[in-house]
Amino acid sequence: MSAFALGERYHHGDGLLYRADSRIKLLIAILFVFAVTAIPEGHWFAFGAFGMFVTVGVALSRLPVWLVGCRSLLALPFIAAAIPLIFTRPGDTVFTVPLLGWTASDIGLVAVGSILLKSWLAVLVAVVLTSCTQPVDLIRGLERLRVPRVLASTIFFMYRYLFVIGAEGQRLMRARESRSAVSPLGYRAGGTIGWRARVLGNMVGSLFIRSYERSERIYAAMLARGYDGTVRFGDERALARADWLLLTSTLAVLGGLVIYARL
Amino acid sequence: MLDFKPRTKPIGSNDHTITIGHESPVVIAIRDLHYAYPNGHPALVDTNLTIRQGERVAVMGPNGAGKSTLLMHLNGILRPRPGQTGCGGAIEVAGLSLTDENLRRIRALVGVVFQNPDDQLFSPTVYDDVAYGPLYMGMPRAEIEQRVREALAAVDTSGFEERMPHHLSIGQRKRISLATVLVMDPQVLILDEPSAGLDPRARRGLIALLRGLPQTLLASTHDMRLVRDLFDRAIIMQDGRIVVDAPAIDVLSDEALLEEYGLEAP
Repeated sequence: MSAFALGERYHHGDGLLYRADSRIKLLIAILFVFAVTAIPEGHWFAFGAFGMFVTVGVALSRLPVWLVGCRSLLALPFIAAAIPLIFTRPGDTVFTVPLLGWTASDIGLVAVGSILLKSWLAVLVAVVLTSCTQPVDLIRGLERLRVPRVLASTIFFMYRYLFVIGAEGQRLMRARESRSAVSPLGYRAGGTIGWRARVLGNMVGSLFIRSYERSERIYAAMLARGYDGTVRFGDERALARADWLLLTSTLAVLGGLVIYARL
Repeated sequence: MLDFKPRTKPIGSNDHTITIGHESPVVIAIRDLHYAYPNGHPALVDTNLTIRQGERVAVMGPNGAGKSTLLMHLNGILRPRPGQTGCGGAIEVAGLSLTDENLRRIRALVGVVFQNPDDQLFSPTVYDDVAYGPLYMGMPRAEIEQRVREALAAVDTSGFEERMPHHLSIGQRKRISLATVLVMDPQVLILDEPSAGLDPRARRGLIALLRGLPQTLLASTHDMRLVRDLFDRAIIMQDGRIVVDAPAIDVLSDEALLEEYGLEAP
């Protein structure tokens, strides 16, 4: 049941980063991700420096550390994707897996460690960004950074209706749960795994069809109110001096780190 | 069985209802039920309710009064868990107390029909949906087929097995929703806003259908004419409390009372 209980990513707070312009925060987050990926494998000092950068971000946002930590676990699946590299990269043998006979190379271990750190750092910065920026501000930020309108509108509608569809899914699960009973006549309850999978598949399918139908109704309602392909937000706020300062200083730090690590 | 005080007011009998005596067995017993949502907002406060077999009870009250929250407790969709602040109390259904062990047995006894038939019906065909409960219960194929046929006949939709729910009218979907729980042969029917969204003809048809059912009935509704035509007992909820619990006929004729709780005479 709780599988569909979607929560907002925004965490209410009043740290310094909350007040920064969403465009600047977006730019910094994107630049950070590019900068991290530009660091050569095994450059642990540079990774440490990027870690410091994130730590400063968390401190400036005054987000609870546990919150950032928990949400960054999103990076975990990357481990599964990266692990084969330990055994496939040629290099000096570090250890051998008993029974299977796979040999782990030193170069492979460094590569996997670097990939893990890079993805974790990138997720961390995204977590900080989404936790201290209102979703609507993020989408406005995208628009003002000249992200194509279609893309920005799509993200906006996804955010608007994600919770509606989530609630619909939750009601479906409730209805199913209400009829998942044990007979007083003593039959073995639960059905086969295949049947249960089919029921779930049907539920997902009907949710999809309903979302599709809903989108058509929404579109009709928008046309009825004069929609012409653009979602208009309020007037544009000029960047404050503090925002420019934040951007330029971050650029200097990130750029400096990349140049240092690649020299 | 929990020890309950007998009801202070005799249950009235409209001409069309069965008179329920005090000797009828208790099917639902709720004692000191409290429930607060995770955000701390109290949804049910000090709720005590005893319902005897064969009673038809309407739960009325403004939106947000706690009607649905109360109904969702009766088959354990919502449950007070130890340690949850603002939650507590005990529920018994047909002598079974609502615990983890009894949960699935209670769900066979209590059929819940949700307000929106599109939530209730999640399968591609009417047959799949009506058969869901018996299939989950693990009944033999032949018995399932027979039960589905009987349930569809009970709601006047015989032959609808291969129809697709999204091609049916809202009235038909409401009936099929009812069939999806009747097929499980429950003792108690819980209906959330049964007449909402129905046109007058479909509404009258539903009332006639519900009148013919032998089950104990508990329904939340804003439809005062439905209360008049179908129910013998009426409960009014406000701010998570049961504030009125009396014969439906008395409640409906007390205009001052209806006015006080934002309801209208039929």
